[in-house]
Amino acid sequence: MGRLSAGQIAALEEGDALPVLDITPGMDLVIRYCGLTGGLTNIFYDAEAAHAAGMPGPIVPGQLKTWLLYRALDTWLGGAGFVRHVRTTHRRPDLTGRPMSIAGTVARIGEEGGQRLVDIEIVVVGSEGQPTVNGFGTVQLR
Amino acid sequence: MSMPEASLLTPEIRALIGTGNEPVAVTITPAAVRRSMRAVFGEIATPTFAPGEEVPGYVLIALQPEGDELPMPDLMPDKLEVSNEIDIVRPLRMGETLQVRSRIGHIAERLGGRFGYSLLIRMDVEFSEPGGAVVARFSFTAMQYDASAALDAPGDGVEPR
Repeated sequence: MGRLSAGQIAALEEGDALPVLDITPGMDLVIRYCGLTGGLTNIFYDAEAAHAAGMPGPIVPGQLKTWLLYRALDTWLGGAGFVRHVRTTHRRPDLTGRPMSIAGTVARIGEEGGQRLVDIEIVVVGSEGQPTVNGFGTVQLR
Repeated sequence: MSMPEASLLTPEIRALIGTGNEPVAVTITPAAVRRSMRAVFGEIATPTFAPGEEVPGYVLIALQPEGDELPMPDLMPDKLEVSNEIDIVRPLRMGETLQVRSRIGHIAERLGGRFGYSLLIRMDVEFSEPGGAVVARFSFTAMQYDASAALDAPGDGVEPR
């Protein structure tokens, strides 16, 4: 769901909006991610610890959110190439178990060293309706 | 702890910049692909990949070293990730062995924002071919701060409760 067809990718133009990807990272995903990377900090699962750290509740790790942006790029264009670059700035916390919407806009279509590249501006909107992550990605098309 | 009386960036702390661990060999295996994809998608049936076949970049999650292997300074009571960067130079392939090394890329002070004085510490992770060519990089920047010094007004960075 959300994957563009070869025809849609060929017709992409700068300024095009990509299908919004809605994801609700639950505690299971957070635990899986943190368990794999060895980064299980208590603000990710303990409400009291999260409050003490100034957070409104257990939050989704920033690294996991960055990989969720990678997942969005991979979903949109991955079938036609591979994700080369993802960059994120975390502006606000996203609470575990709350929906987040990942939206992308084609910023530039160009070539580098004979490779066709698509740059995409990405924004994550959290459950409160505010942007929580500003991101940028590049997909190299085959 | 609020605004410290002196900079926490002492010569000893600055000397940590650039330090890191020795390269470690990691291999892209079906288990690494499966674990990494389940860390991003949840419980899904992961596709299988033949030796030499291109695998999703997610596999790097399962191959990265744990951050606590580095001598990361622990100077303030609270920590939060503020920015990340992933670069993948070329597709990764099932069965290939890479060298991975991590280092402290940068440490800086920051004034202002909701939490006032804070420190920004960047960890860089690099994956290379045995011949030395870099195939992927991560950068993770974490903020160390004092939540008890938080302002109750929106600011740059993490918003108030």
